[in-house]
Amino acid sequence: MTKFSSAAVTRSEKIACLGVMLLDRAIEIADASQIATRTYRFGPLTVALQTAGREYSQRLTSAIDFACSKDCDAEAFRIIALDSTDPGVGSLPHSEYLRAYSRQLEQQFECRSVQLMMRYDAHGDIWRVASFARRLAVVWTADARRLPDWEIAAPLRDVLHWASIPTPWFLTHGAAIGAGDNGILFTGPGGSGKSTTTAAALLSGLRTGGDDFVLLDPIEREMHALYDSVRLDADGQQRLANFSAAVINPSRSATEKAQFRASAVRPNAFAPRLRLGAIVLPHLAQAEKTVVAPATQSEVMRALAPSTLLLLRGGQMETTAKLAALVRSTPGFRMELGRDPAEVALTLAGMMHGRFQ
Amino acid sequence: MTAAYVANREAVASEQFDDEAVLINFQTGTYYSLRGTAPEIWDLVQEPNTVDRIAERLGARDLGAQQTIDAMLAQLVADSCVLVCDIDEARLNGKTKPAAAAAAKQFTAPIVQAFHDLQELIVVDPVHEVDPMDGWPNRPLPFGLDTNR
Repeated sequence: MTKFSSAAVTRSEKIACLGVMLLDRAIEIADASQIATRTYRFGPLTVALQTAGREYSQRLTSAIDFACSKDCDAEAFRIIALDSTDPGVGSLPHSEYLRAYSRQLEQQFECRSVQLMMRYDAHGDIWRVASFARRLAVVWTADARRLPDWEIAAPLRDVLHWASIPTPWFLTHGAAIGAGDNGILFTGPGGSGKSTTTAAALLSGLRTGGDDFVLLDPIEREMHALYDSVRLDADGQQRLANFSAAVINPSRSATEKAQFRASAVRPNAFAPRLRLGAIVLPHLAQAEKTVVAPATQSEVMRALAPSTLLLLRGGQMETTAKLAALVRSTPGFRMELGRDPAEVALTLAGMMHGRFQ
Repeated sequence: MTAAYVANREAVASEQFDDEAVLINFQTGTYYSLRGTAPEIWDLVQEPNTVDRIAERLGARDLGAQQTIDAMLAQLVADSCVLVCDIDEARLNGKTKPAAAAAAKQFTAPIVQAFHDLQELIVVDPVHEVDPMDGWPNRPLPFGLDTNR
């Protein structure tokens, strides 16, 4: 057992050391157990995922199955996902030391000198650590049966974000809504109407690449789906009762949102890739009709950046610069949402067919 | 030594769009819209700078205008977006000299709008790159900075 006895070792160095040991132990387990590797392609971002335990694998990958590829990629970012309840995995190494720092690590740990990211999710008892230099991340959960609903709807989000930090592409908070191959990024804080409008758009014949986070490729100007999942709060469920049959978590708790797969709504409803034409900032106005007006770049930045950066920890400066470049090169609009979701969706369709004029 | 202001670049990301700058403070979770002369003032404190020199640069000749600049910077210091430091005035000579155009410039007031709606969610990173000698929660400070002022 490693001991930290030197007073000269800082807390930061201790945490970095624990992170490296977690990575090393996960590799030992993955190699010893010969865990199968599956490749997932999210546009330009490719990851090679090894998951221990059938149940964990199923829960972790159901929202990303659409991205599973038969081709291997030696350059893929490697992710090892381990469940301590799996007999081949066992308990978290150095857990007494790690748990001593769990409160601080709930926020995020970033050590640039050794290119290490680390975060602890207390709700799911999940440890996440990534090394840029080794192109490797580990997600270690205490019990996959107790994964929180967001980890099932949007699995590996932190890790996918960390994997994209040294690249030109990036994750951004928003819903991708499309008509054909053309799309808009619908962005704003929670409660602004993104998910309800996404669901309404699906009912109106439009497509979606996810209602919460998408991967942006600023070079090709494309939005790539990360998750085939849409979540609806109680209000959204009430307004869009048509989706009740498609809900995949009917036994959810009162605080959990209803989830459904966009791909299950109808053929072609799920859009793994959309061309980005505009960024739209929704606002629940409860007006008779939806009103669209141009937004300034700073308005778009204020809507897009804080909510993205608060949810994705680490690499804030890099992500801010990428978001700003996107904002500068993309038309932005404010949308005062009418009270009828179908009418909102029709307005969106009109925007996309009108080529964002 | 002279009291000066400098942007807290460890904690704040900023981007300029036309006549407005957007600041995001990752330590506090507050984000800002800077308009009027505020983006220019923010730009002028990317390196340590004094109120006198900033005022000169912006053509703010009267005391009221200088107090306005000071008040803006004091607000950003209170919000941990700007740090106070001591600098050698001589080091500033040759830097941030008033532009030729500034003499004829009409001073307009800086406008700072703070948004706190995401504050409790955006606070990040208490152990990020800590001071190598003092450990967490002490961050390494740029040379010469005094945050106790």
